[in-house]
Amino acid sequence: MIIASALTKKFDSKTALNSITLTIPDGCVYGLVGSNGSGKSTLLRLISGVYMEDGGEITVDGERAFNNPQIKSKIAFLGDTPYFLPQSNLKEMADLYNSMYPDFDYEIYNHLLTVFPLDPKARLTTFSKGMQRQAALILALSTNPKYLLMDEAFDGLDVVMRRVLANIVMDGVEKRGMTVIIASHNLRELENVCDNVCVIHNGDIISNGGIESLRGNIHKVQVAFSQVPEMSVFNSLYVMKAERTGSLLSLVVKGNEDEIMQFINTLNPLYAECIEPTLEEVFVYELEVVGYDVKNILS
Amino acid sequence: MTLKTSSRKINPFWNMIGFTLRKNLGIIVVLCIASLLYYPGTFIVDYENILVSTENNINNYLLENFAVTVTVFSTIIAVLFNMLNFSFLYKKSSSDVFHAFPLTRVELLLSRLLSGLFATLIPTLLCYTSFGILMAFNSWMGNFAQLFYFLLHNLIIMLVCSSFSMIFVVSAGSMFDLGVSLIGGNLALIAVGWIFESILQETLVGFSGYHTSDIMYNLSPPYFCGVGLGLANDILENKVNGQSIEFFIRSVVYIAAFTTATLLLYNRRKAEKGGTAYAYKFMYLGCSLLAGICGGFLLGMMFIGNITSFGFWFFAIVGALLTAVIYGTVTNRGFKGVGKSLIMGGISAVVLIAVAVSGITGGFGYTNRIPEKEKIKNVSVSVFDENIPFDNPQQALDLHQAILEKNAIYQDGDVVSNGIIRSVNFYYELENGKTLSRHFRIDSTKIPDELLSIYKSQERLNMIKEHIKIVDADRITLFFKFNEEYYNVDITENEADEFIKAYWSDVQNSNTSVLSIDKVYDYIELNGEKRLDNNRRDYFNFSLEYRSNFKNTKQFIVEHDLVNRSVEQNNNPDTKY
Repeated sequence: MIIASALTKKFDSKTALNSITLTIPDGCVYGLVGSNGSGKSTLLRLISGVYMEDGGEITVDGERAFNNPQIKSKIAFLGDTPYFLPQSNLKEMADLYNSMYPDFDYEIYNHLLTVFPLDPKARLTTFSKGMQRQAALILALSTNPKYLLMDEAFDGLDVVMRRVLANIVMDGVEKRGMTVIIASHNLRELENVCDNVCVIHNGDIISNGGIESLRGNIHKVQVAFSQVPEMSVFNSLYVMKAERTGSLLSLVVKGNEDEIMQFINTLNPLYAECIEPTLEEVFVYELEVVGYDVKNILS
Repeated sequence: MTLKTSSRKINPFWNMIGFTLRKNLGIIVVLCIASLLYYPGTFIVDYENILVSTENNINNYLLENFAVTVTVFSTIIAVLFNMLNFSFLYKKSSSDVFHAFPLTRVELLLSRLLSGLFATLIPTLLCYTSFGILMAFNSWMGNFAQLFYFLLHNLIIMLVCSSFSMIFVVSAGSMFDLGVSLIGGNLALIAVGWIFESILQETLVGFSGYHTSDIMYNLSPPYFCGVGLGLANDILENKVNGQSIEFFIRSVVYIAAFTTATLLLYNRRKAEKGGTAYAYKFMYLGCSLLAGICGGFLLGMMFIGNITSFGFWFFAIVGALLTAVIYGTVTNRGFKGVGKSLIMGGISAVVLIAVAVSGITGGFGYTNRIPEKEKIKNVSVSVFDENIPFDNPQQALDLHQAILEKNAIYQDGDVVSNGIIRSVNFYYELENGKTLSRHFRIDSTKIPDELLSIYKSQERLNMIKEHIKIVDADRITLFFKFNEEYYNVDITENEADEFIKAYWSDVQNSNTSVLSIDKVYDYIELNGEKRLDNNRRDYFNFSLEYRSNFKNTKQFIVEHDLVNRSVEQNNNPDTKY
């Protein structure tokens, strides 16, 4: 389990993480969402022990990762820009990782080479951006990590490879109880993969929780009336957003779905339908309510 | 994928060393080939010439030259390996990968550092082994004790420089700034020592340049190592003296101190500083200050060469500000820190001015400071172009006191004949191990008695005899001027002895007119050589002031028919020079 308490990280005068507190349970796929420079990559580097915290504390399995080889050997960190030693090939890099990580497994490595068809003897610098990311992913997964941290994991991967990656991640979580933390600036990428999502903006956590629970009590209702009633009629509902287009009213309502629809039906609409909003819409509604400039976060 | 049940036992520290060595294998092989090309390569190719040189005793320092060359190259290579092995620090992506490895910072640092040192050691030891093998078959090349001593010397210098460079390596944020701070900063530090010396020479009465080299020896590790490199002579001549021992002890202390400082700095280094100019501000501040001082002095010298003029200081201030701004612009990759750069330039200018002011005001009592007699262990006075040691310091102290009290110090602008200005250096070794030295340019007419007393002193005669090692010399020659012609002639040991007696009797008969350089007729030179063990030779050369009224010396030349003997000798092909 990863626990951050009052975690602060500063880069000279800029505060990248501002006293954040969060808990990442074991065996989940945890998404970190935020715009560029929001602090999500910094959080990953703090978890992996690359950075040392300036304030507060971050622990992995109860211990600080910074300067702690035992903890670091359980973590595979895949940065936003893959790095390989100059003139090296995948085989050489695998040898290096094998000599560094006690749980490095050549079986996994060989298996992943069949999934991602890369030439292990070709120079990594000749690889495309997507291939380099695949190579880095092979190395990270081959260390058999308890915690897999991925920064912009899907960046540079085509649709097929994204699907493959998602499957591998799921497989690792299911079979080995691996905890996966994925940082991305694109919430749509994480929607179908993550159990939990944490939105970071300007070093602050502005939303954090399980996807289903977040999505669960927000509903998008589309209602058509022969004569649209006054908005005050809906005062008994927790309407987060309302838009009217002719006789069609779109409402975003927080609450129990059955209770909402029961109330709507009492108004004798021509048509009424409750739609499950996308995760992105949920965040937009939630965050607009609390006054955040959501377009910047989810762009 | 399979489920992992137990971890292997591995040692990432040693694995990192092994991996880095394997990665550097290509460079190591090239260095080994280069080593073999040097030794035995050059030796085999040049064997005939080396033998001829040895026969003619002009190649006595084969071992020393070899050791100095290998020391310089191995030191440079060790520093380059440090730069190469820690280049991961200067890029975010590589810094992420290396810092995420299951190693502590100390383990990561030491593993990369040691692999670099191992990589340097391989070709270095190969060189020494080759030399040792050749030495086993050619005993005239030296002995194994000397070779081992040189190797130790080499390793010590290499480790001092390598550990010192690591402070720069872990404090820099990019390879470019590492190069600027490591090479530029160290050169600038030596330049600053020279600049301060130049300013004090012009402003501080009594200032002795000896202290500058002393300060640089203490302040600049590369300078310290350079001095250490010079100590190799002592090793070859089996003169392992106090300075050599002090050098070794200080080197060990430096290595420990620099390594500790590196470990502390690296442990606190923020990984996110990769890609910035410097991970620590002190690097920027230090380099900026040095750049400002160098630039200020350079501009002042370029436009107005005279340090004591106002114009010099105007340009020095402008130069300091300008250089600091240029340095800041390069470091910040733009003009965003101009304000800070101007402040640093201002500080540099203030430092330059402060040095000059401290010189003008007597260097906090520096000029008038004379050690107490009881605290003096040894003293020597350089005057008449000779360095005379005194067992009893009183005579030296009297001269020193007279210079200060009788206002004998020559000031620029004093209207005197050039011939009466003499340089006098005092060098005191104190009981507490410290030294004190002073240099004065004096008007010799103001303290004639004190100078004459030194000129005629027994200590001066002792010094002359000490330098002219005529006993058991293989050859002694006298170079002299007679009737406006120059002659060079071989003389015997007895003749040399007689010559000194004749010369000294002239000295004793001299009056204060000898104090004027205008009256020096010429110099008379005694040269000699003596064969030592191991095919090596000892040479001496000593010049004595020779005056037109030195009757006994002239008589010696005439009585021994030295002019004709010289002509004959030069006409004889066997004895001709």
